[in-house]
Amino acid sequence: MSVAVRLRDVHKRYGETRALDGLSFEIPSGVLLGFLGPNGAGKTTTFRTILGLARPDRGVIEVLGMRVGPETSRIVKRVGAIVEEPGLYGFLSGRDNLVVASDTLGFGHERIDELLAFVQLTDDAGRKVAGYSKGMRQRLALAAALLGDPEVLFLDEPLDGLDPAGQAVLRDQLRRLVDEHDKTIVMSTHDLGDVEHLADRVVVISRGRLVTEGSLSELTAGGDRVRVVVDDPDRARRLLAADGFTVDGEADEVWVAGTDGAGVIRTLANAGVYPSAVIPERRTLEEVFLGITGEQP
Amino acid sequence: MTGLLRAEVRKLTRRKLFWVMLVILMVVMGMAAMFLLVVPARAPEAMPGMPAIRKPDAYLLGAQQAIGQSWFPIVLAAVAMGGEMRSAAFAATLTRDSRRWAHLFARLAVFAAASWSATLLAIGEWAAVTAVLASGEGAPDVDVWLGMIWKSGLVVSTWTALALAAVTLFRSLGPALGAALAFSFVDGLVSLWTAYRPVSLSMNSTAMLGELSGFASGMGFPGLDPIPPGRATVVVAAWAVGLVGVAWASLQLRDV
Repeated sequence: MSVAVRLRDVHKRYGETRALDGLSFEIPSGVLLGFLGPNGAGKTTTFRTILGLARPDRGVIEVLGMRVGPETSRIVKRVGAIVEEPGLYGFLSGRDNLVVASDTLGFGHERIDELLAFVQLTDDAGRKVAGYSKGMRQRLALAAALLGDPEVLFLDEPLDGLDPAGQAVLRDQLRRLVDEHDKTIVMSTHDLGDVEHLADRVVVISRGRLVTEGSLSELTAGGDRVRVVVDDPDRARRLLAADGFTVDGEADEVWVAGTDGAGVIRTLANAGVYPSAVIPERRTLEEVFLGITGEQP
Repeated sequence: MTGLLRAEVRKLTRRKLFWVMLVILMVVMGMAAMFLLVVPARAPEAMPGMPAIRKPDAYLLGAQQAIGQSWFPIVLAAVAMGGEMRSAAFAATLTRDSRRWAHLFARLAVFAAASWSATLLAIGEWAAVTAVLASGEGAPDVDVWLGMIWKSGLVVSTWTALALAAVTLFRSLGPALGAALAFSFVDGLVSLWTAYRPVSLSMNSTAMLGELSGFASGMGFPGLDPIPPGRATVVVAAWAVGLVGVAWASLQLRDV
């Protein structure tokens, strides 16, 4: 799998504040990456340095194999972004916002109708953006970010402040962009639920440093218990306890600590008890996040 | 660059700001023409002591009045670009095309062209009032009119550059607009100081068109030596280059 974005030892200070403090990570192509961190962790600064809006004090950033700085002008032609605000013109209609964005990109206006349909704004395209809801603005900003048919999208809290219906529409669109259009999406958010629903991989930063990264299943695994689903829980508890396992749970719940499950199956099978499932305990992303950062997302 | 210019023209023509300011400018110029040209000539008792400015000087006074409306390019450029900075639209633009200098020059070109068009309309309005209602005979030669056209272009471009420099320095609409307008007022005021007058932007802007006799000479202070138009043009051009340089450096070297 090729690497879409690579950061190596990136530092950025604002006065005495270390916004990025040796941040390094890689984002493979073709994934939806949840970019997480507490408030002030450096998420927006990371986006801004990747996009050339802010200059890092030190370190190397590469996007699609090109280096930010000397090749920023080539990079921005192949990425799309929403950073902090949708960055739209309220006095222009939705369509005119896309026309202006197309002209800025140096592209024609051929894709505008297609993108308005994709973000479900065709009927409102002639209205001034000042009268749009927040969800409509976010969707229009997404359409603007997609104008150049970018390979990588950087979306800074795209679902923030949307009503549940708006979130559902946008979530579906983001997932389709990855699954059907082979885009790479880097999405910062405070909502761990969004990440659990949407993301393939997660990068967590705190105080400008990488805390952890990996696939969602890797991060949420790691509970040291398994749940055993079996017809006769009492007998299973007795057999396992007799074989030295630490067993917990009441009634139908059979929890076994300190095992990966293989030993549990062997013990029960030797006694003629065949579990219908042995399920490793999973942590929620919130538990993972709180455990490693000690802060609210 | 063509696409950037097209985008700027679309934004400018679609917003009310330019059209409302254009109406205000025309009203201001019409009222100025009435009070400086028509009333002193037709009803001198209404403005005792006010000299009647006659043709052909009256035409030149109009051009000076129009060029002196520095608030127009300053407000237009500061509000338009300051608003983009405030709404993060400028940052969004840079995520599509990272050439900061190109965005700056596209805005400078379009804002200055819009202000220039408005100034020429104002000169035309004044000229029409002068032709019909002012006393005296004659009109400036064609080369004088042509001079008014390109010189007014240089002056509004310079005030536009001042506003853009203020926006790129302050990154905030209110302080940038306040600073640019304050500069235009203070520059005019301090131009009375003989040491500063040769480099004053507002004084040299007016002097580019040549000196008028009587009331209009030296912006109403007849005791001052006139600034030669050629020298005034060089000074204004130097201001333009300097301010564009400040705007470029401030935008290019700092984070957005």
